[in-house]
Amino acid sequence: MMDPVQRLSLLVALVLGLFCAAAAPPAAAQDLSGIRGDVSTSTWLSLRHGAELPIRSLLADTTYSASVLQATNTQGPLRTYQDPESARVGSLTSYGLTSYKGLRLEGRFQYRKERQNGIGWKLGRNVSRRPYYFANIKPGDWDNDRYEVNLTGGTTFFGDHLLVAGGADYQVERLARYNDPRPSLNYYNLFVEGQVGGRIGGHTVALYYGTGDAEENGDVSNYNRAHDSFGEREYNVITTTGLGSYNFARFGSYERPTTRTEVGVTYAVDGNHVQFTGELVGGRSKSEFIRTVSDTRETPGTYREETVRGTAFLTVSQPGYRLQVRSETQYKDGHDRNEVFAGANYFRTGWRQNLDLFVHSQAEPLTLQATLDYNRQSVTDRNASHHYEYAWLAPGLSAQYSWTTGPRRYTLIPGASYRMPLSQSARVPRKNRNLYTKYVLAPDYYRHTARVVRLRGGVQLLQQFEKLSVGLLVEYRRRMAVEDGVVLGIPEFLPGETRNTISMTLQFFH
Amino acid sequence: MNALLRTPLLYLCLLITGAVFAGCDSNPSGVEPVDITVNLAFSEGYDSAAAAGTRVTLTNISSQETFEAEVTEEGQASFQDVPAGDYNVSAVLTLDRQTVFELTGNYPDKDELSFNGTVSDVRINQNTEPLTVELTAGRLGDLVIKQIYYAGSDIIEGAGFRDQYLSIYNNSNRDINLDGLYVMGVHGNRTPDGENSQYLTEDGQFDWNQSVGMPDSVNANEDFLYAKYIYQIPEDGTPDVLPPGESVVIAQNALNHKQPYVNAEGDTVSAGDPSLTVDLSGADYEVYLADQIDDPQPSDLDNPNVPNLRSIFIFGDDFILDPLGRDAYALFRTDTPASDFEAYAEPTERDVTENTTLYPQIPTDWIVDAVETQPAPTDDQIPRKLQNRLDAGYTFVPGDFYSSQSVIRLLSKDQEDRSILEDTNNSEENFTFLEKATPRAMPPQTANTPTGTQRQRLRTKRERAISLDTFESRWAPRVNR
Repeated sequence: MMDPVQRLSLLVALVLGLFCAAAAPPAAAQDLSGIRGDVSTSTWLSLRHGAELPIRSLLADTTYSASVLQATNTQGPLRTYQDPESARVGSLTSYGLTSYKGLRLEGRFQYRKERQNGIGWKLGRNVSRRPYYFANIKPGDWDNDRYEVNLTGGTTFFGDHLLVAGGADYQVERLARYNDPRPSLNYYNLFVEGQVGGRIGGHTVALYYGTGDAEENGDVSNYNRAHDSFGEREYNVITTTGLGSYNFARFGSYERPTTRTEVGVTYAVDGNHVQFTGELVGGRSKSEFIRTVSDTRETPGTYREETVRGTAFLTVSQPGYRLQVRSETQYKDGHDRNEVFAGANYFRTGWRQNLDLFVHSQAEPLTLQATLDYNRQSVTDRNASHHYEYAWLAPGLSAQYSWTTGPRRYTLIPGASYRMPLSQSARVPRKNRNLYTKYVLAPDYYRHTARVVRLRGGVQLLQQFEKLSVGLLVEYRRRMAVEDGVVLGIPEFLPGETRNTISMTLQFFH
Repeated sequence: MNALLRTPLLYLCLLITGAVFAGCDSNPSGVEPVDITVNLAFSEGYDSAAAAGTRVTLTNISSQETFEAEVTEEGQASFQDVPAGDYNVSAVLTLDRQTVFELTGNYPDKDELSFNGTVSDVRINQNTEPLTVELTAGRLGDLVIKQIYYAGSDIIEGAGFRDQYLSIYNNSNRDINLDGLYVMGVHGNRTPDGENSQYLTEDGQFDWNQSVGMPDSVNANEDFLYAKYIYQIPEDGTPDVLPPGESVVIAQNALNHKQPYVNAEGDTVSAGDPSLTVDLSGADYEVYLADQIDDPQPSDLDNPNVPNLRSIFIFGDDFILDPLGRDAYALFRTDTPASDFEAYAEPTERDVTENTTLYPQIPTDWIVDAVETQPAPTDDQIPRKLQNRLDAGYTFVPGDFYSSQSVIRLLSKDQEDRSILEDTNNSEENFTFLEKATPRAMPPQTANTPTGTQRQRLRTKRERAISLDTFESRWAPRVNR
């Protein structure tokens, strides 16, 4: 039976979710984010990482609801040319997980307001590791509104032996840049998913299928007429078609319809002292890029990407401590079909491996987290003779320690990591180096081959009320390049040495 | 504990399965460099000419990378390992006088006759069939446009566009009377991707055949140019004779722009950095409109020592060359009075009234010389206005507008009594630029390369260049239309 506050939270998430959209679980760096109300840190981690597919609502029997208001400010020159010089983000997130008449229901809603200043070579929504998008040299300022909703529900039949779950993710975004050239972008993404599985004893196996489509539409205009028809080089709308391939043919609009299909499996075992969840998802996406002007439509190319993501989460409970291990493996393999070059021109492979070890003391005033992240990326543009690849490893340590004074609970969250390059190579013949090389490839290569120390410090104050806990979390993160990256040629832009993020989060746990 | 042993093993199996899943369908056919053949064909009358030795150039529109090959005895130019992409193809062949005589039975006016051919915006990839370029004989005039200073100088530190000029050179071996020579800017579509595309040709230029009132009997696109402005060297009874190897300068304002001057509104105007602009007080001609229009440029002063050109068709409020390089320029002669020039509205104007601008139609047979300019090549190019036989290429200043740079014709060879300038009717081949415009500069022998230093115009404001777009063309009051 839900209490009124829980009901209200879930209702808000469900109702707003019908119209808006939610992010996947936050990145690993956000794992230790203070005490989550009445829920222990280990339970919270199980909720977040135990499973990500819809069946997850049936693997946990807790109820949980929270709402979070967050303001974040990021600035500093340790960035690529396509990253903002500075960014302010405000977000509202509401989450609820509960049971209702034999159903397990989970809803999450998030709204993000982003103000990003000084982004160059980017006139699209997401230009990272993809070949086709509009761009221009001169940096500009963006104002983005992003809505996201995740809804998941599931139930069991035949005495809990048959499990059925489904879900939907919906995103709507409006993005706009307010300096010439001025793109105005609309984006939506609807992804529906379902799972069917069986449970015998403590073992659960469920098959997964998900499908969806997304569409991104953009119109680029100029306040200054001069930039519209024959503008200065920095204002020209460039169609980037690879890693080093681009052209200046002027098109004012684009469409990017994308389809994605996923299949996968979840396996979970629930023992007395051991819980394990493993998931494997294979996905394929196809993203067409169509540019238009007046009554002319042209498709420079289509990008296809295959993804394999495997996650595992293990919890071992002992009388004096609790141990949790999380592993996420992600492999991406993409290539395009370039209609101008009449073949596959852009090739990208990426492999990321994240490992986390959490050790919780009894009653959990102290949690220690050890992380090990591995990232290997390789991108090639055949026609432009551009290629680069790099690999890095980032070990890190974090801790979360809390103590209670009356109805208040204080938590400190220090952490540090060190990113070290393992290997790198870039091959761009001197005669092929162009604007893209100087503005995009070289800064990106420099940033990923630098040695970087990340420091983190956070403090949370949690006030307990009768049916509500309110937390205030203040965090500071700093990235520092302690050794320069590799410089390719003579770049037009090079990252600096530091980047800082400060965030203030108001948490409501119902 | 068994579960602990089993589950990592299962996870590993799942990962392997996933890797297999990702591995399938990952063998696309990749882009390869392209081998391409270009065949040459000659225009009518030169069918038996040999194309061997013709230089063919492929220019990648995006990267500006060029590839050159010579045509073999088989009449083909072969290119190997060309990156796929969109290209302009150009071919140039120069035949000597004797060869031309053997082919045609006529001697050309000059020592050489050049053939040019271009094909624009060709997509070259693995599926591209061999290309064919038709070579057409160029029209070679004795007078040539030697230098065009359209860019102007920095608005704040220099003189903006009021110091623009154009110079004409006698490239022949005899005196030429300039009286009655017309100087024109060529009008055309600058925004090919705009509305009314049904009234544009495939190249994005106006399809003048569709202009209201255009006779069906004429080839309105191929056989004519349309004027944005026209001025004429006055026929005042005293012949203005230009000796071989000499040039004349036509200034917008024949002032020394390096020095302060008092404009028509009584304000003292000076260039912050005189080195950016030019001294045009010694120009041979200037354009003075203040006595003909209601709202002239304040800088439009009459230098009594410099003859004024006769105004025929006016653009804006002075002899304003497009600082962004979107004009084409032509010299022409005709005995037809200007008042009898045919004139037509842009084809997009479907409702022609007495207020509609009609652009003078100039037959290409009248043209003595013509030069196409464009914005710097990494900027958006605009549709060409000149036919290939008038100018098979285009020229530009790399520093763009208000950069103090000018385009200037290259020196071909020095003779005892005169210098002969390049004139193959291909301004891409014939022109280079001057880092700093100089009215009577000696043409360089080889093309200059941009210094790569900060462009002067970055100090200026762009809006001023844009305001020129609001100007319109109209007949001069003294032309009896």
